[in-house]
Parts: sequence; C-alpha cells; structure tokens
Amino acid sequence: MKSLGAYLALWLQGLLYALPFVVVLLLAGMPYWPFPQLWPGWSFQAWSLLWGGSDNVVPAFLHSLVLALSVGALATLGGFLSSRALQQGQLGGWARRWAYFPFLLTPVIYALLLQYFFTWLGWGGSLGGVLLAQLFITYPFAFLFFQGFWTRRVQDLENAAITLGAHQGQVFWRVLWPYARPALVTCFFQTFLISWFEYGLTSVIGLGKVPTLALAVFQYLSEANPALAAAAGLLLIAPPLFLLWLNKRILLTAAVYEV
Amino acid sequence: MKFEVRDITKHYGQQPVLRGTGLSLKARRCLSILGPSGCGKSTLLKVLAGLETAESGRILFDGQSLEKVPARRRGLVYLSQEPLLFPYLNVFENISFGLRLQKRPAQEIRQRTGELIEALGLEGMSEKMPAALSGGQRQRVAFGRALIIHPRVLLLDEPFGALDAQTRSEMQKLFMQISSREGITSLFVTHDAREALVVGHQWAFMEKGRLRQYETTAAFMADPATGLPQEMRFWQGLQEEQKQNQDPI
Amino acid sequence: MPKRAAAILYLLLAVLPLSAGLLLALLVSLGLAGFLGTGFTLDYWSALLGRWAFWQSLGFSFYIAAVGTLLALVLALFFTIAQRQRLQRRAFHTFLYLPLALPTLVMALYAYYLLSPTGWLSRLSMALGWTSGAADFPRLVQDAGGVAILVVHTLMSTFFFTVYLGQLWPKENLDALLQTGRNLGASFGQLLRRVVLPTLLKRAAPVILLYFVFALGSYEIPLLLGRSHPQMLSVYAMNLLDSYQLETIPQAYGLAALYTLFMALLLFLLSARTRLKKKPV
Repeated sequence: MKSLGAYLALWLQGLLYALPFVVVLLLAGMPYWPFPQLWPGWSFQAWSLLWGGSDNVVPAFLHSLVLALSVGALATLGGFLSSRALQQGQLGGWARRWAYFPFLLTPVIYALLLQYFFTWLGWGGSLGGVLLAQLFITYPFAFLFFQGFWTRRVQDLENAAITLGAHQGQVFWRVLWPYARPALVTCFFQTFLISWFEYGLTSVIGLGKVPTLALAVFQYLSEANPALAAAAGLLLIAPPLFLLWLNKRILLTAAVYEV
Repeated sequence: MKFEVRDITKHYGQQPVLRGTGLSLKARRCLSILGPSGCGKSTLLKVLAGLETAESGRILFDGQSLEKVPARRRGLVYLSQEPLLFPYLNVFENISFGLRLQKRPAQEIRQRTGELIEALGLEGMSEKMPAALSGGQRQRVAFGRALIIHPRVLLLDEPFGALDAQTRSEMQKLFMQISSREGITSLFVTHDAREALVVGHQWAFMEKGRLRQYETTAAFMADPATGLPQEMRFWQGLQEEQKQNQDPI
Repeated sequence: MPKRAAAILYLLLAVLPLSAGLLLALLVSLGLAGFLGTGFTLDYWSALLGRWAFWQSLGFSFYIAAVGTLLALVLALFFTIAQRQRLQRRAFHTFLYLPLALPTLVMALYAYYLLSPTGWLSRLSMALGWTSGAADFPRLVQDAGGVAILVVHTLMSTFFFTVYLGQLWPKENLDALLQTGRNLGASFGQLLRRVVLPTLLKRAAPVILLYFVFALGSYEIPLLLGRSHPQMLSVYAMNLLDSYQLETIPQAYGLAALYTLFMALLLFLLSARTRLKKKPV
C-alpha cells in the first residue's frame, strides 16, 4: 500500500516536473503547428529568427546579461559590506526589519510607487535607471542574506587573526573574504537570477526602452508567437539550469523571491 | 623577564566581571589558573590579548606597558577551547598564517612550518583541511599556529576542555614538552584541578573576578577553595576503607 | 565599510525609495500632489473603494492566492510523505530542484499552450474523440475562474514547497519521530495528524505565508493568462494607472499605497510574533 503511494507520487511528480520542459522544447521547435495536429513538425527556424530576424533577441539578451551581472555584483558587495558595518545592535530591530519590506512588496507595485521619481529625475527608460530600481529590491535581499552571516564565529576568527598580528586589510583579505566566498557566490547567483527573471519592475521603470530577455519572452507571448517565445524562454532557463548543475542551494532562495 | 598584570577591573553593564585582578609570571613558565565557569577567566585572557578593553589596570611585559598597544602588536596570542582554524586553509597554511602576515620569505615559511608540523606530530597532514581532522589534531594545529610567531605570552582558555580523556592527557604532555623546548611563557586557564597541577609551574585560583596566586604547590593544594583538599580526603578515605576491609577479622 | 557609509547606503537603497514612494502615493491619492493635485480630497479614495471592480479584484486575488497555496501544500505534502524514503538519494534531490529553474514567464507560456482552446490538451482530447474542435474545449485560459492562473501558482508553489519540505524532513528528524510514534503504537493516520503535519506545518508556516503574499501580488501571470475582468490586484492597479481617464491615476496610487500599507501591517504582525518567540525574523 505504502509503495503504491510512493510510485503514484513519483509518476505524478515526474509528469508535473517534466511537462513544462517538454512543452517549451516542443514549442521552440515548431514555428508551424496548426490545430489540431498533436505533434509539430520539427524546425529550427525559431532559433535562426531569434538571432537573425528583424525582432532578434540579441540586444535583449545582452541587456539582461549586463543588468544581471552588475545588479548581482553591486547588491552582493553592498549587502555584504553594509551588513557587516550594521550588525545586530547597531541598527534597531525595526530599522533592520524594514529590509523585508521591499521583499514582501510585489515588484510592480514598488515600481508604481517609484515611477514618478524616475520620470522626474529623467532616469526612467534608461539602463542605469532600471539597474538602480533593481538594486532597490536586490540590495535589501543581499543585506538580509548576510545578516545571518556575521556570527560570533566570524568575530572569533577575526580576533584569532588579529592576535596573530593581522592588520585591518589582512583581516579582510585573508580572513573575511575567503571565509565568506561561498556565501558571496550564493548571494551573487541569487541576486543575478532575481534580475534575470524580473519583469514587472523592469517594464514599468524601463518604459519599454530597455529590452531584456524576460520582456522579450513576454512580448513574443502577447504577439502570439509561441515559437519565438519558447526559444527565448529556453534562453531564460539556461542560466538557472547551469547554476543548478553548479549548486542546488543557489536556486532555493531565489525561488522564494520569484513568483 | 617577567609578565605582570595589576588591578584589572571590568564590568558588563552593572555586573563586575574582573575586580582588581592581578598576577605575575616569570618568563618560560606556565601559570595555571583554576576556576569555575563564569569566574571571569575568559574575560581576563581576552583583556590581556587586547580583544576586550578593561576600565582600569596595567599589563606589563618586561617592564614595558602593553595596555595601549593594539592587539595585533601585543604578541599575546589567545587560544580558545574550540580550535578556531581558518576552515578554507589546509593544515600547512593555517600554521604558517602568522608568517604569511609578516610576509616572510617562502623558504623560511616552508622550513619553520615543516619543523613545527613534525614537532606537533602532524606529519603527512599538511594538505588536509580542518574539517578532515579530529578534535585533538585541530587543537594541535591551533597550537602550532600560535607558536610559530613566538608569542610573548600564550593565553590558553581551557584548550583541551572539549577533548576526550585520553587525547586530553596526550595533549597535556605535548604542551609541556613543546613549551619547555620553545621556552614558552603561558597562562593556562582550566576548571580541572588535576590539569592545573599537571601543566603548571605556578598556580592561581580565580573566583568572582578575583585572582589569588600561590607561592608554593603545597599552598595551592591546601586551599579548600580549589576543591583539592576535599578530593584528596575522598581518595584517602577510600583507600583506608579498603585497607580495613582487607584486614582479617 | 564605516558605519556611517553603511547606514547611508541602507537608507538610500532600502529605506528612502520605499518610504518616499509610499508618501507620494498617499499624497497623490489625497489630491495633494501630482498634476491633478488641486488640494485635499477624499474623492479618489471613495471612487476607488466605491468601485465594485476593486472589491472583485481583491476577492479574486485572495481566492487565487489562498486556493493556489492550499493546493500546492496538499500536493507537496503528498509528494514528501509518499517519497520520504527517496529523500536521501542525491539524484532525487536534483530532480526536486529541477523545476525551480522555471521562471514565471516560462510557466505562463507553458500553461497557455497546454490549456488554451488550441493548446495541447485540447488537441489530445480531440485526437481521443472527446471533443470535436477548439470551440468544444472548456475555457481554461482567460476564463472567469482563473484556472490557468491558479494552475501556474499551484505548480510553482508546489515546486518550491516540495523542495522545502524535503529539507525539513531530515532536519526535523521525522524518520526517528515516526519510528518512536510507531513504537508507541500509533497508526499511520495518527502519525500523520499528530506528528508529521504539526511538525512540518509549524516550521513551514512563514514560507507558506510568504508564497501566499507573492501569489497575492502576482503580476505577469494574470496579465498573460487572466481576463480583463476580474483582474488581480497588481494588474488592476497598473490598468488604473494606464487608463485613458486621468482621474483613475490617483486611484492607482491609492491602491498601491493600500497594498503597501497592508504589507507593512503584515510585516509588523509577523515580526511582533517572532519577537515573542525570541527568534530572529
């Protein structure tokens, strides 16, 4: 009886998990798939359109890459350094809890609140503006991420280095940096993915002038161009799949953030 | 040469932790400080190492005042119960850490670290990461990391407290052996009276932030505060009881 | 980084934008700022709150978030409990993580081409002779019940909850707890009710709530898969902002402010609760 449940669960779960990948792969390979055909004819036309056509996705891909890399690096570094300076006790409980606020708020509503200021300052519709707006949600995330990092143990390791004769710079480069490296990498990947997947905030602050891959997927979808949408969607999935291969933990917190 | 501490006072909030604590120790000697947990032992060592600040008091090494000297230049190395190794460095790199900070030539680092690794009985483990070591091995590495920079005074805070009985006694022997070979001056804090007797040349008892230092071994062993007289009476009693039982009726 | 610089960075990136945005939204919605700011008025608020569509949107959002989260929880609990013996295996772990790589947009794409009248399910049912054409197939996308939206939320939450519960299982030492329970003579049902569910749900409560909140504010999924009426809150707010009637703009700001204040309240309640338990949030 118990093993029947286990098999049922595995089959159902396998179906639910595999189907999205299968359908998106099928869609990407089927520029022509008239109703009611069950299977599409294979073609890689969507892929060549993606790179060569009039609405090719290359600029969007590059924008996404630049954005996600810089947002990930800046948010991670800022969160790491400032959470160290503002450790427990330095920042009151409510001031620290405020960092959860942008996290709870859905990005598009946050963008609605910010939009006026961005337009007023002339930052709307620019890559820099979108980058700043994305930092508004990724920096608090990184800050919270590193709150748990600065434990008694880190302090003790620093002290051990100090009594062995390390000056401030040596404490940072020889103790903190290498000790924090796994956490830094994890936080970087997570903030990278938040930026990489982000749609609502980017579309509102970017005013449609900052193309990203997520925006491209959305656009192809609303233009009822499933093949291009799916091909671009596969590009969107590629980095997280790569990261999954590198390290599972990275995705977990990013998934808490997304949706 | 002499290490001297006078009248250290420190409070955590309203709570006094150190109340005019003082001690004096000859060079190349080990002072055992016996005391129950919460008596202020760890705080005293951290104040001496410069990791915490005291409200008042003096720390003198060879007549030179150390209170104002920053922790990294004091040369007083603190060793805690938990061997806090750098988890991302292997045994060799952990031990040579202090030499790397001083930017010593590679040849010297290799030689001195190698010698110490051998003296510590860690041959063949240079490449191992801390996570792959046993508790005793980790404590050896921490010990080596401190020794390599020739500290003025080594401050040991219950260094063997987390080890099992056998490893513990091995480590005590190793500590004494290397201390005498390298001529180390040390403060050894413990709550185990036997350990205090074994490793020390001089003895002190600490309670509620006050430290009492003894002139002789006999004086230390006779002080009821240390619990030693009671323990000896227990063993003696047991021995006599056994003798009586063995006597033919 | 010096404390002062860190505090300034935190203020500039975390505190200032959100508080300034909230303040502005309140001012605009009260007629005190913006190009329609002609002086204090409650007109925009009464217009917003007097609109049946607003309350429908609110109800619809809560319905999607609640039902989606609940369904996902049931599925994830089933997957975790039924396959507790597999949790130790590395390959199974990787399998659990796999769908976390799917972003919302791709899931929306998937749901659309699976559930729409010309989608794959419709083709399948036609091939099986159950329906005779696209028009026959029940409307699952852009429908009144928000089926497609619900499906995507349920799936995405299931993906995450399953990973999360799978991590909690060994952490909470449930295998040993179950053994102890069985040893004491508990039946499977009793173990489930008295051991497994209370242990897992108690620990997972914050994460479940978080996913409920994410679903509540969901934007691109209902934008792609929802109807123009009723709309989920984020879509409704954006529509009020982009509407051709200028007077709905302050209402959009009002709705955004309301939503933000609701989140602030939630955050306050949550951290007050966790502070009582003396745990960091």
